[in-house]
Amino acid sequence: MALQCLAIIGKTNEPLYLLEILPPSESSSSEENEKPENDNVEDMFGFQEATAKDSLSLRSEFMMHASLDRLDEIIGDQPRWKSRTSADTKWIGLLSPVEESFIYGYVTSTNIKILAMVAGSAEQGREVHLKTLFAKVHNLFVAYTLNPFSQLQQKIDSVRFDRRVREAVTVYNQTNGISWV
Amino acid sequence: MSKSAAAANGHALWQKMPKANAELFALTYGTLVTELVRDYETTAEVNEQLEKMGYSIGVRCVDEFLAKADQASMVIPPCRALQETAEVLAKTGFRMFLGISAEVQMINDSSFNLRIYENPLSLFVELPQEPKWKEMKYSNLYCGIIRGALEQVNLRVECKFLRDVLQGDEVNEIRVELKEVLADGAGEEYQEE
Repeated sequence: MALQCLAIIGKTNEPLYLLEILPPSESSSSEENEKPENDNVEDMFGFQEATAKDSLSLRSEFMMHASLDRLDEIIGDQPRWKSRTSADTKWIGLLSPVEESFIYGYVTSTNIKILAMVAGSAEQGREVHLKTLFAKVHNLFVAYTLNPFSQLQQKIDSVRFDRRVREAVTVYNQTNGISWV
Repeated sequence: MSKSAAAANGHALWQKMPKANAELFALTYGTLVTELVRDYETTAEVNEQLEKMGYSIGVRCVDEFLAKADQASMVIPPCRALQETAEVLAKTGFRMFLGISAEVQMINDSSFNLRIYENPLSLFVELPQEPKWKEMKYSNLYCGIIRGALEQVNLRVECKFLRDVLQGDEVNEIRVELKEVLADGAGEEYQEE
């Protein structure tokens, strides 16, 4: 039910933005805490610098990376795209259940992929909220791209984008009855 | 001319002007600024170039302003004090060309502050975090425009940005200081034959 991770992946599967939300019981400090656990481990995604906001815990990264394969399988299916309306073509849906979480995917028409790892049990109801979250993140991404100073194809380095994505995620977590956020 | 008359004129002129897509406008300006940043090394040079560009825009704008006002049968009487000039600039000029209204705050007889709340040039813009961007005056074009326009009506001014929304302040504020009233041809444009 709670969103654990959000990742935005670029066209060539390079990571653009990673966000991890942890409940306070699992971490010693504030409720939103990106832990650079993989500082001393080889970086799966090939980061240059493992700053706090660029990294996810290793476990989450593995799961996200694995689900990218599944995503590629699904979107490799070209004819399926053209027959649907624009609202449907972006939402992929459940990519894979991983341990106690589920990973959902969303692809934009420019092949930017957004992945969200959600904990809890699979329910149809919450997919609606997730769709709205994905739409919001997509809009924020578009606004970010329109900034003339933003470097496209590179990691998203904007304070404003980060802040707004966190707000959207907080709202999502609240509407799904999570107590700590 | 009074504030409300200036504002009414501004609104009427804005209605008659051809419009452009705001996003296209902002994005074009954005790429202009990023190109300048690539070409010049320091932000001070970029600011200066923006001001120069603004200057050439300003000298052309004022003729258009007076011509359009004339065609719309609007009377823009000669300004007797800097305050009137400031009001016409803020309420009529800015309104006509950009669709925004600016506020004037007189500091003394020879300088005033121009406050702009919404800036169509900086739609979507967020400056990067590095320290060198602290000196960046993204909308410095306005300073040049004001300087160029006022120079055509024989007022030599200096403009600079005091506060900038992109740098974290709440409003955009430009300080305009009158340096000199140029003598050549003063009042010719306004004289009725």
